[in-house]
Amino acid sequence: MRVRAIKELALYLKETNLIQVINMDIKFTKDTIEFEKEFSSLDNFALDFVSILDRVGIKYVVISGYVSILFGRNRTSEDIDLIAQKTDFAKFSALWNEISKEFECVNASAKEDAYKGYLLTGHALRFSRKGEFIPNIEFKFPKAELDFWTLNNSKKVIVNHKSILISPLELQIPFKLFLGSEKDIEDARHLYGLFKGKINTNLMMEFCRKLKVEGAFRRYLP
Amino acid sequence: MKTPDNGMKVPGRHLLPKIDLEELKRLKEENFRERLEFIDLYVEWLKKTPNKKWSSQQKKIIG
Repeated sequence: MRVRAIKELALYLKETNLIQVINMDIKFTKDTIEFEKEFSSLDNFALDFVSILDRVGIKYVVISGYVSILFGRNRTSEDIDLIAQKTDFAKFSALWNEISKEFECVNASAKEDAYKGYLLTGHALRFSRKGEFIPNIEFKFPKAELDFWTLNNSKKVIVNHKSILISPLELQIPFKLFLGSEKDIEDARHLYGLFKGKINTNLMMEFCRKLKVEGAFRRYLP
Repeated sequence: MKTPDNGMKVPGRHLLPKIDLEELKRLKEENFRERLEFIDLYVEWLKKTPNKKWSSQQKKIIG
C-alpha cells in the first residue's frame, strides 16, 4: 500500500513537473537544481567566492563556461564570468573588504579605482586567490539589457548543500551557440544533452530566435 | 627582399607537402563533429553514473 502511494506521488510529481529526477542524481525543479559531487579546485574557488557575495548581500549570476563544468564537462577554465548587481560605493567597499580576506584583485589595487575606474566605466575586475593569478573571477556590473534579465532570472544550484546562482539554461545554451567557438558549441551540446526535456523549450527557442542562432541550434543540438 | 630565417635553410618547394585548404577545412569540421558525438556519449555515461564516480574522475582531469 505504501509502495503504491509512493509510486503515485512520484508519478504526480513527474507529471506536474514539480520535481524531475534525471539519472545523474540531479533534482531539477522550477527554481533549483540540486545534486552532489566531489568538488574540484575550480568548484571550491567559485563557491568560496560567491559565498562572500551572499554574505554581503550582493545579487550575482555566473554566466561562463563554468556552468558546463559545474555539471560535469571535462574541461577547465582560467576564468569564471560573473555579473553582479550594481551597488553604491559603500556596499562595494564592504564587499572589497570581505573579498580581500581570501582573494585579491589582480587588475586594480585600490578599491576606489576598482569601483570608479573599472566597474563604473564598464570594465571587469578580476579576483584570484591571494598569490595566484589563475583561475580568476571576472566581476562586472550589468551593461546590456540581457545582463539585467539574466541577473533577475538566475537559477539556483545547490551542490553539496552550498549554493550558486547561474544563468538560466534556456539562455545559457543559446548564448553559447551565439559565442560560437568550438569550445562554446561543445559546452552547449553538453548542457543540452544533460537537460533536454527538463528545461523550458519554448523559452530556449525564443532566445535562439532573438540571438539568431536557430540554424546553429538545428545543426549542433539534435 | 631578404627575410629572417634564423640561419635555417628553407627546403625547396618541391620538398614541402601540398596543402589543400578545403580538405583541411573539411577534416577540421569532421573532427569537430566527432568531438560533438563524443560529448553525447559522455553525457549518456554521466547520466547513468553515480555522481561520486564521475565527479571524482572530473577532479582528476581539472584538479
